[in-house]
Amino acid sequence: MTFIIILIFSGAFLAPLIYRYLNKISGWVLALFPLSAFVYLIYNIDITSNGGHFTEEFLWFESLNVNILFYVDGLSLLFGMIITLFGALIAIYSNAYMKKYEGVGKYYLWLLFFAGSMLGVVISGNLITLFVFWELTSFSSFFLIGFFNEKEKSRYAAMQALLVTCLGGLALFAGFIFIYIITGSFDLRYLILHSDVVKSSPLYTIALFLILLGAFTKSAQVPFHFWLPNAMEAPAPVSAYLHSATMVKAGVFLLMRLAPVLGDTDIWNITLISVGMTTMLLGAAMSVAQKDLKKILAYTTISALGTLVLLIGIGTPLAYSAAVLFVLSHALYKGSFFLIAGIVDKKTGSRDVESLSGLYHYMPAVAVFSILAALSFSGFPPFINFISKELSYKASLDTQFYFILIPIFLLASNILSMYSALLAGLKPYLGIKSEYKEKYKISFSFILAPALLSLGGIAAVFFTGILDANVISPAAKSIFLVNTAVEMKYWYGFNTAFILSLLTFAGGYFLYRYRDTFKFYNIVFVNRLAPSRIYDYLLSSIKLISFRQTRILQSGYLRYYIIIIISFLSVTVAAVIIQGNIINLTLDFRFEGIYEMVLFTGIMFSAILATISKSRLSAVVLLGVVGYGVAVIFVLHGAPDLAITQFTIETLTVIIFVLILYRLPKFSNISDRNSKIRDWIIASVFGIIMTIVTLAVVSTEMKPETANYYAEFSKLLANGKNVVNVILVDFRALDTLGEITVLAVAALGIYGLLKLTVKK
Amino acid sequence: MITLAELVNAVPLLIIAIAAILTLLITTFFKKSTDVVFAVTIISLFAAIFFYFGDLEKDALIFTESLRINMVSIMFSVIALTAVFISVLSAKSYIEKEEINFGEYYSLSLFATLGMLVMIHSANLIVLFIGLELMSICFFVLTGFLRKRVKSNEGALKYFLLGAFMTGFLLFGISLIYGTSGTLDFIKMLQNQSLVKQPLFLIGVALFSIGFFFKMGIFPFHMWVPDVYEGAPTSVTGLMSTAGKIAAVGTLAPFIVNTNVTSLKVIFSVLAVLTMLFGNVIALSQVNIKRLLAFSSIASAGYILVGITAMNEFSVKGVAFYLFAYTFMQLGAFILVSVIEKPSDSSNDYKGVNLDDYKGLASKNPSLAVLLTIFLFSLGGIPPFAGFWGKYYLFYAAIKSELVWLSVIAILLSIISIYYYLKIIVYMWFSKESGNEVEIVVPPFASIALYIAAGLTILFGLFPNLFFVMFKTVLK
Repeated sequence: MTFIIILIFSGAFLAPLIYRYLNKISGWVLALFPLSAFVYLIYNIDITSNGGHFTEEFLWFESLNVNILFYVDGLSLLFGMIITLFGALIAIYSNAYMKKYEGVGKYYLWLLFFAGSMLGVVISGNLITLFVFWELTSFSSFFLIGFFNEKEKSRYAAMQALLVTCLGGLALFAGFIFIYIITGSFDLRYLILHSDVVKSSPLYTIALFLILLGAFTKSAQVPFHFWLPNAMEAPAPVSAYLHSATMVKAGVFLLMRLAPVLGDTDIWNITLISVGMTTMLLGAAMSVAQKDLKKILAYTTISALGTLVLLIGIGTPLAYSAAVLFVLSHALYKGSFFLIAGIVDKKTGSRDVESLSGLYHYMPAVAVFSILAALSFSGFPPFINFISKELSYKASLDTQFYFILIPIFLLASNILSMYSALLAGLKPYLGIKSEYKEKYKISFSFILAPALLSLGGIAAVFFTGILDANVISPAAKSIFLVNTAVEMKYWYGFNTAFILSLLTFAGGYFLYRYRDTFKFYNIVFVNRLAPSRIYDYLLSSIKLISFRQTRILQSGYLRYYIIIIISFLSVTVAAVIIQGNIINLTLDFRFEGIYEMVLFTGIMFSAILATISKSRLSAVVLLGVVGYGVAVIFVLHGAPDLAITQFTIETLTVIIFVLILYRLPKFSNISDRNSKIRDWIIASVFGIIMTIVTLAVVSTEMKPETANYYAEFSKLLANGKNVVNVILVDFRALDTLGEITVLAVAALGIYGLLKLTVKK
Repeated sequence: MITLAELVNAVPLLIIAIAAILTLLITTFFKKSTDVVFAVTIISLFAAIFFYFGDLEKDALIFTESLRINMVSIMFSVIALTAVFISVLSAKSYIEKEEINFGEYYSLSLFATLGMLVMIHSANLIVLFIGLELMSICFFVLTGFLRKRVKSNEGALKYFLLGAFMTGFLLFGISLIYGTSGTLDFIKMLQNQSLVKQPLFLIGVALFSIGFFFKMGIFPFHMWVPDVYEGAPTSVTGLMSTAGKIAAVGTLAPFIVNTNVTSLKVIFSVLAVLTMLFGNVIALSQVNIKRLLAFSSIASAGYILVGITAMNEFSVKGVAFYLFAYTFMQLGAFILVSVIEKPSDSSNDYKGVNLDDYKGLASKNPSLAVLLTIFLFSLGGIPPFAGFWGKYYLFYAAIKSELVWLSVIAILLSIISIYYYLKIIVYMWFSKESGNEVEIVVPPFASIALYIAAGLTILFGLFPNLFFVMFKTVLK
């Protein structure tokens, strides 16, 4: 398994080179990479067809217990085959489609990179591995969607798609972490065995919610569907690959993958059914109001994804089988449709279904394959999609949820989808010949992929048995875990499901026949409904908050910064004080004589006067008085060394200040009354709190261990009586050495500066 | 007595100290010697990293128990040195471009580095304070290194004033810690279990932490970050935002995690949430890329605080890994900004640092665009880049300490960050109109630095375990 992942990724990194040297056939050459992966998967089909699986495990991040685990069972195999086969076909198609563009080498790189990541998602057996590949698909799709990047719309779409899916991705990650919290493992095998632990946990609901958010955003479920139609700005092969067959199905895949772990609870079933049903019907309804060929396809894809989620939500073996089969049949016809839309767009320069008509005369082959795809889309026999429609009708009839509502929704959305299918697949080719230049030449590599996909829709029917035994049943079994025993048959008899199918055909044809009477294009409600607006609104409002916040908290004024810091400190320290209950209000003043009291009063008054003085000089002098006062206290309490230092520093500060005093601008009082009051309050609160701390310090017994040590050993070890001297030259001699070095370095620096001034 | 063994253990520090003085000497006495100084700086940094992987003792207290050489401190020192190394490598062409090509630049960077190492290795609070001040003072000067540019002066002054202010709190915190515990020594402090219950000790630890929060840029002590990051020469910004932060975190985290003061967890986690919220939300509305990266670095500090708050065995490792990854992506981004910045002119503001200047970068210089995309994706925490594992490790640590809500909030808030990183990427790749008419020249040393940073971002993203293997095998 590792082998094919590495194969495809190396193909990706070789792509620019291959494109440079083999320009004209590069698509064909690059197709070999996914194609060989496909062959490898087919070759290993025996293991999974019996319901088995194979795994490969590597150590990755040991200290976090994260391993790379590849786990391939029936479900992985089905998706893996779709991903690799489509990858090859898309590469071939791109050979024709991407001619004449710039940066095609880059395009191939991202295409194969995407294929590799997507394959990684479906064969991951470890949630972290899965998440890593999941994010890789997001960002490689970003570059693919934004390929036509000269258009503003294209950039907006690429950004939107990535933003929505990244949001979902991170939610998914959070959900996985919750699962880890519950079970202590990311290993899928372990999780499946312990699903009852997960489901009974109180964290189950939140984990489920986050994971569903990830799956729904990726698979474009309402209300996150809006990015998909916008992403139609992408080149046609990208839309065919990402937006029909693979990336949008990643969410569906995840639901199928995790159904054995998270599924089969009421909240799972009801959420999935409700969201699926809504998406299915709204998608179909919105598709009928579109004129743009690709937009029609995008909305019908949303509808199809809704159907898949609905089927997973129903959760019966029948529904799983229907879902698995539908994944395959939908990929076949929708992929073909997107590719054909690309050909039409390329050749005629238009995607407007209203104006396109009579194309049959210009490109007959394309018309045939398009009509085949449209019929397959509508679910006509003998296409494989007929069986999946039948199965889904049957599944919808056979559930305890929502009574009869599910089949009715399904019927309605199928009728609307069929109308869209006919409009997109039939209408442009029939009718009056419009005036185009000549018959279009369509190269082989252009038509090959859509042809194979359209024909595949019929051909599959002849291999129903083989397909069922080797691919569909094993895949369904990986979801349901026991043999599902739903036999895939071509004809289930004349039952309710078949009647519903007939009703679909009749309804769809009726809408198509009388489309001019209904004038669906005029329905504008879809545009009003678009959550795209909510997305825009959210983005702009969060930006607004950001701007406002900046003004308040990041004003650029130092004084506001200090106000915020002081306020925060006051609150924090006050909280600790209150919690620790250390307020000590027993003031214990013991002055050593009257002079000390005078000193204290002097210091206090100088400090107060300094804050209200009207000139700089007096403020400085007053602060000087405070400093000298403190130094005198040091002297009184027997610390003359400290006092000398303090005296020196105070003197120096005042002198330096006086030196620059005349260079300063005029002293002015710029704060108004209110801000003065505010400053006063903040300063007093902080002052009071710090005073309380100081008082608490005074009342706590301190342990001056260090001082005792030096006092005790100064005579013993160093033979000196002056403790401070001994510390400087003996105990901490190294510090003194450091100090001397610092002085030397400072002198060096000053010397350099002096030289600079002399030069000038 | 200083034994030979002590000197051997201190070799990396001595190399940096000697190199710092040497560069200053060369600059003072020889004209036009900046190339030599640059070479000396690069070689000494490389040698220091090299000797860290040499035959050091695993756990040693040296120089009268003032420095501590152990696994954790070596790990953070190596990360810090790596950051300085890459930053200085890229700075050469930048300071030439801005016409501030003086030898003192390297000398100051080396002194700052010495400060960081002393701080990280400090075994007691006084040594720690000396290291911190040495680093900070060099940073103040480096911020104002573009003397003729008003923005640079403004940044330096703001940084200095606020820094001095916060140092006061730090010292007050230290004195309370000393007063209540009776020791300045970390190990002795940690042996006394009853300390944690003393409110005054808690206030001390809180004020001490706040001094470091200021250096890290934690809300509400972050205000200097955008102003200073914007004003400082871009190469200095890169240095401060990585090496400076590594030193602060590398000193604080092991201490706090070991004290395991659970009662501070509430304050820490509230601050972490506010920091992540604030950094990410305000980054959205930035138009200047230096400011944007400044806010994103505030958000990163929030993620780091999440890891520290966990206070368990995973905290220090997680923080170290995150910082390691962060060094490459953040530094890489700043180096790129410095490359794209337009050459000096007489104006008061930097030119070519707006987001608009990044429009159409991919069509003009695809390799730069690829590099920046890698850095930004990694910063956004998107796998498989190193940044993802960094974040993951931090959040994992929080979960292990049953701070589930904190890590979920962290994940959700980092979603916001995707938007502003993407905005730059969209500008680069999908905009045809070009914002920057001047042709971009990528100087050789800067491009080596960029490729090292990008290479390691990818390497440690694909093989995250390499980080721990690297330290384990060498330090056994």
